[in-house]
Amino acid sequence: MIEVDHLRKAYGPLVAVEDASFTARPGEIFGLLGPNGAGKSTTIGCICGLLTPTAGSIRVSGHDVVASAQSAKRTIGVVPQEIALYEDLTARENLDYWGAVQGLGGAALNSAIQEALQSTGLADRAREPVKRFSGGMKRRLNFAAGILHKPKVLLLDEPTVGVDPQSRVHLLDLVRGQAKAGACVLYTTHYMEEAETLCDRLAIIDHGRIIAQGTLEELRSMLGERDLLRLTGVFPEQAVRAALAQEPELELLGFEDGQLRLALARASERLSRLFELLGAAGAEVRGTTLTRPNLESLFIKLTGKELRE
Amino acid sequence: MRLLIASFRKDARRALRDPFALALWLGIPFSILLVMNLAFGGTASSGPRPQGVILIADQDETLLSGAVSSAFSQGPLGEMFKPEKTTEPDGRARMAKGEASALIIVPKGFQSAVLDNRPAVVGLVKNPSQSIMPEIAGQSLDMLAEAVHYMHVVAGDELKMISSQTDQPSDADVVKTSLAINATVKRLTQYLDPLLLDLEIKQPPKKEESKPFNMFASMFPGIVFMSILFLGRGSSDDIWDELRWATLRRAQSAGLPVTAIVGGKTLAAMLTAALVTGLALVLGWLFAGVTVANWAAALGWLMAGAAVWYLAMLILQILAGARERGEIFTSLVVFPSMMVGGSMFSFDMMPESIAAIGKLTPLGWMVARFTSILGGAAPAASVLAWLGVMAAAAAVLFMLSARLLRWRFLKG
Ligand SMILES: Nc1ncnc2c1ncn2[C@@H]1O[C@H](COP(=O)(O)OP(=O)(O)OP(=O)(O)O)[C@@H](O)[C@H]1O
Ligand SMILES: [Mg+2]
Repeated sequence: MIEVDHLRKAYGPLVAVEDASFTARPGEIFGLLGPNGAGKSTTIGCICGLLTPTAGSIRVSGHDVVASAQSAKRTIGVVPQEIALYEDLTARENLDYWGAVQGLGGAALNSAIQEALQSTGLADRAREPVKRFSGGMKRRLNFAAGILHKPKVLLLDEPTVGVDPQSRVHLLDLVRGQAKAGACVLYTTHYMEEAETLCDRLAIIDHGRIIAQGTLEELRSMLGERDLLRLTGVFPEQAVRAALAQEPELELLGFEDGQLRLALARASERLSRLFELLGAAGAEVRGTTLTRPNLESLFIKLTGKELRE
Repeated sequence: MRLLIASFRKDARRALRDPFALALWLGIPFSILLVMNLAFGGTASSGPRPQGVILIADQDETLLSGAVSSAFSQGPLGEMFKPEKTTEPDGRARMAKGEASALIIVPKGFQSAVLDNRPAVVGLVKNPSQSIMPEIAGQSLDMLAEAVHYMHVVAGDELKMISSQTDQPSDADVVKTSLAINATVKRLTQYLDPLLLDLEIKQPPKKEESKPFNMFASMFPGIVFMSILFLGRGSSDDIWDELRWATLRRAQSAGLPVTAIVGGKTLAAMLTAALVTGLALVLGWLFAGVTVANWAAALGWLMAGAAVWYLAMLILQILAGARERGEIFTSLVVFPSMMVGGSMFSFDMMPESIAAIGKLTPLGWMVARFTSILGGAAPAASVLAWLGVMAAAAAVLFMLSARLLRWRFLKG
């Protein structure tokens, strides 16, 4: 459980996080989505006790992170944004050290290391010094070092940057596994797709302020926007235009040769009815692309700019 | 405690992973020792030796000025140098072409200045492209200057007599003078076979049964501490890797206290020192006549020294704030310490005044005590007291470095 209450962190005149409040619960993956410099790492730094909040309070597993820092830290696992590993030690030796620092020892440590190496696909490279690893392999080891002790609270700061798609899918599965096992996961990213597929609840952060939070559905409904439907095939123009005109809450955005673009609410529920209408009008649909309103469009709507620029 | 062990294990692994650095920490000091031994060591050893051409421009052409050049053609120096007579302009021209290791200019009036105990200036031009031979030439000249000083102590009256001769001495004066000169020259040759001179003068009471001077053994304690200085400097440098890799911050966010971080590193430095210098000790004992009166005390002393120097260097690194500046800061302490603290030149080889100052520096203090621990001259009670001083120094440096590290790099 992470409870962040009116957190503020200033570096001199620069305010990195302003009045941030959210709660992440056990078994849940809570996403912190925002562009570069939004204040994601600063928030994580405050939660794990590296940074001292300027104002506000944070409780982790019920412990105040300032007043009872050590008790709070014992329940936390951190995967920092920077790769924080000893380049001159092997993968196994790194895990041995980080595991010991996080309170593991003896057989428990050994089996945790074995498991972590297996699950991150590094078992066959375990005896190589980290400096010989590729960037993505270091990322995976960086991740492994943070989850060795199966922490109750897991803070992941952009853990998949530079990881190839296959390994990324694998890492995200590991994150889900941690949550399923009961961990409370805080996951920061600027990848909207990752946030959408992974997170149970989300906060969108920009310029240090949380501008929206809730489940994916709640955030989408804030948009109130219609889905975008793109159809390809053969469309007799007059008949199709006439047929679609009868349909409520539907806008014809474009009619080009062999392609039809529509905006409509609840598109997925209405697809079959649309196909019937079009079929009756003599059209032949060959391809369908449905785009739901996404976090990108929400971010644009809230801030007037794109998430990635 | 478990955290301290984890931290120590990690740093020890990292230190021992780099055998090249370990070899350097041992190798550099001992190659210096080897060169010094070749240059000044008295015993007859065979094998090829470096030969450097040394140019001597003798403008005085007297007995004493001749002695300067003959010093470079006799004894151990004679094996290293080929002295050649020249004039100053010719000598400078040849130096400019890099044909010789050094040019020594003995100015006119040298002998009378020496005999009158007035300052006599001998010029030395070193070849900048060579490193070792010109240094040895310079060192040898310094020792000659020492010899002159002692000569005045020993034979001052005769010398004054020679120089106070008027144009027309009486026969009796001539006899007296030549007798005096004879005596002086005898002594002079004794001193000007120069390189054992220092020791012979300083240790007259030790009579016959005293062992022959073992250059290696004399320099050994200082050389071993040179290893410890290099080791402290080299391992404290590692803090910059930790900061670059962000591993210290990660450790801190995982709840590792700064004291465990610094403690682990200090223990690792002590272990490395014990391995490196312990090896040197065993080899010196087996093959080079180094006496080790008490192994435990000797090793304990080396490890305590390693802790103190490691922590001192760490503090300098932190204060420096960046790797390059850290290199400069630590050099500013390491190299002067080595020069006067008994590492580059053993106290036996130094003029007494400098040795006295040198022994007051932290390094000199440690080297002098290490010498007496090795020789068995120190009673157990004093050794314990000295170790207590070292432990106290290490404790203070430890607290200071932990605080500095947190304040400088690990506070948010
Ligand atoms: N030590 C510091 N001193 C001063 N300003 C800082 C410091 N660390 C971060 N900041 C500033 O705080 C703001 C938030 O930075 P933060 O690292 O939290 O962003 P982020 O959301 O993690 O970005 P990214 O996606 O690039 O990692 C930025 O403007 C940054 O410049
Ligand atoms: Mg960040």
